[in-house]
Amino acid sequence: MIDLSSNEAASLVKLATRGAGYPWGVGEEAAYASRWFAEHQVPSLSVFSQLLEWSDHYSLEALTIDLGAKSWVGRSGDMCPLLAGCSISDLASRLDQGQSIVLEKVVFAIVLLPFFHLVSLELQSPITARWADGELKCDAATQGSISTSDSVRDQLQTRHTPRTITIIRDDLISDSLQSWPIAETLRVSVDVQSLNGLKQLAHRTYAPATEQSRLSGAGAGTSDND
Amino acid sequence: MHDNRMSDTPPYAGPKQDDKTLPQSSAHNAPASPAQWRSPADVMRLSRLGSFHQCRLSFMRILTRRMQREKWHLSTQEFAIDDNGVGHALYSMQGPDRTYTLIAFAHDLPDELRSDRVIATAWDATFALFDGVPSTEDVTRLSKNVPVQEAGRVSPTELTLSRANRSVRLWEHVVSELAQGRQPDTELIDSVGYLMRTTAVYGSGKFGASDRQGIASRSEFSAPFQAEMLTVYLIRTFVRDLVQHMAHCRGGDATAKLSPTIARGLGIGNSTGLGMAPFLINHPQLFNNWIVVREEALVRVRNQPSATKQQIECFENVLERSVVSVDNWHSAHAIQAEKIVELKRDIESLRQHTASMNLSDEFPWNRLYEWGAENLCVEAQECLVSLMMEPYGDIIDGLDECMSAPDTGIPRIDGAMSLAQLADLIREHYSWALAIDWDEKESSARAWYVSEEKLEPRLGERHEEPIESYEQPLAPARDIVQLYRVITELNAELLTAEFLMQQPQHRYAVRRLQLCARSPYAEIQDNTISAALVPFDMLRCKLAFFGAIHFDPRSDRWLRICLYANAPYPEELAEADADTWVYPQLPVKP
Repeated sequence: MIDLSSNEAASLVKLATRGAGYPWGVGEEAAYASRWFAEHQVPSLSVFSQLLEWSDHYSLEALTIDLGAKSWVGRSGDMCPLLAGCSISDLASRLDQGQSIVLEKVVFAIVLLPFFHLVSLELQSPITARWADGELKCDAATQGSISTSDSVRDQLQTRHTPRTITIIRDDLISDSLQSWPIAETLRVSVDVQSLNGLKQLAHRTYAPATEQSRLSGAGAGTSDND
Repeated sequence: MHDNRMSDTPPYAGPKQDDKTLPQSSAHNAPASPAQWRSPADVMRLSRLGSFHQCRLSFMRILTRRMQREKWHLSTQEFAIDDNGVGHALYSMQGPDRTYTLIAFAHDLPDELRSDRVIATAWDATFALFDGVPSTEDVTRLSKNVPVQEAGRVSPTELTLSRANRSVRLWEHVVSELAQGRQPDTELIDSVGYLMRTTAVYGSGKFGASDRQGIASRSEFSAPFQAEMLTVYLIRTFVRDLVQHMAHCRGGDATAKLSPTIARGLGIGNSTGLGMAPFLINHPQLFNNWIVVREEALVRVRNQPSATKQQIECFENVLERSVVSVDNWHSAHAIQAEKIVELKRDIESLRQHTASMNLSDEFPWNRLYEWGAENLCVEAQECLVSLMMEPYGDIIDGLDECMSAPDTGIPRIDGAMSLAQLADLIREHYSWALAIDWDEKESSARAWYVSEEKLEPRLGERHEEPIESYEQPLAPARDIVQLYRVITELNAELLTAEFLMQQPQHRYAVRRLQLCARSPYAEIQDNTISAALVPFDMLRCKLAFFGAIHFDPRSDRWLRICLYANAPYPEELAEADADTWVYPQLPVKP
């Protein structure tokens, strides 16, 4: 395993997200999610490596979501959690008005958690996500912000997660749930395969060197040894 | 002492601030106050940002004031460097709560390998700032990683990673003169200003170092870039000691000790390239906070109804010392050389005008500022802004705590806004960008990209090089105008969230627009991809906040500066002037 700073991991995630075909603005949100993961002991780079490997098979248009009135549906069938998270965050006010947001077939649902945090922060209220056999509460005002069961935590680490997730502004939830652990340090541990996968995606954002670029791009040409 | 935080003052009538700890404009405190924050349309132009000077709130001066106030001292030292200049040295600065150690590695670098560019792979000296006092094992570990810089890895106990090269013009001269028992030529010293120049000072988690978030709660790091500034401060001390050591190795007992006065005048040079330019665009909230604090400091001074004799003397003193500093500012770059000529001319006008006006009452500083705005070039206007702040440390210095940006994750996009509201925001805050003729090829002549080679940020010619598909998001003006063109063709009632799901490529522009609408000084109000762009204006602005002087552009996209010239060394901190040292002492009259 390789040890990275949270900032290094977030920078890599941002570039890899862009390299995988998402726009820069979504890359900023992915970087935010990576930082949130580092604080919450989620293996950020492993999650993003798998997510971006999955999304790399689709065009950006295919990954977009139909934000229907009753439920949101990914145009490719499965739903991209990154774009879903962005829209949940954008539409925080919808939850404030008592409406729910229903997501169908989200993959890597753990990526939604940093966005739940943003919504809870904005609404200054807990929000709840429920599905057939699990639930979690996000309250940005509490340490760790997420409360859930151990089995849900395990479930969220996998790609295939519940078919239908309903998100509401609601603090009525079982008190028996466990707080999500907070990391003592901000370090990110990553396996070589995930790291290399993300680096390859990030590499797509770098322009191949040309002689013109080498000579003029960074402004050389004047002595720098005097 | 005044309470400088301003947390209980009436709200600024202008745009809403995102960060509650930021000062609100104090102009509304007193009905008779003549001055308010200057307009972003004036301040945020690159021509003005690229004319900023160091001031009381510069990060180096914040650090030296703190170190003196808190009685920081050099607590341990090791200097294990051989006659060839190879080895390591440790310099520990002990503050009230913690100790930080500069670990310096000195190398015997062949001349042909010396380069200031990011693509270099070897340096005369390499450094890390260690959080605490390193063990022998730490030094051994770092000896394998720090000398190779980007190719190595450091750990959370390291706060910065840096390197420096000798000035060929000065190093050998100083070594050989001292070795022969003589002091170096002061004219040559003044013309260069430093024995070594750093070519990068990495912090914030780079190459495995500690994240800023991990140290941001320490009071000594509450202001921006304090770990980096401490690194350079200690590098300067090491370099002074190294040159003396090398002279002694050559000259033995006959070697002269470098005169403390000459040593005091030596700073650390720095070569800064395009890598720094994107910072101001990539950190809009932080940049806003820097400018807000500077504007607030200026307003507080301009709104002083009168000035005491002592305050006037302080101003006149730093004005005279500035003249000396400007006389030592040399640049062969045509643009900067002309600006220096104009500055010299206008600083003389300023002296004459100051001598002729009564500074004791009737809002003297506001009158002086307004005269300057009418009669001085922008370079001299901004120099005047810095000088006017000098007598007022008691009402300005506490603002330094407002210069960081709190870690709030990411600015959330308000997706409930309609496209009509979004378009209104653009018309209100980006009229300057809408006014640019984007159909002109020159308006989008450049593109920022990162080269595959050593991941170096570069600026290329969009219409001549195959770089557009690799473009970095560093052209907010163009991006927001593109957003405007798209949304004004769509249903005005559509929600921003729905629009962004259909066209997620506009998320960057929408987030930026909403943030900049709340933070008036977050955006450079110029076209950053224009054929007319002078990139070093962006570098200079940031470096002025560091406290750099003597900006010397070497092309339109990299420049050299000098840091810490005239600053007291650690052993002098207790007694010396730890605040206005940046202004050279006036020559003693015969």
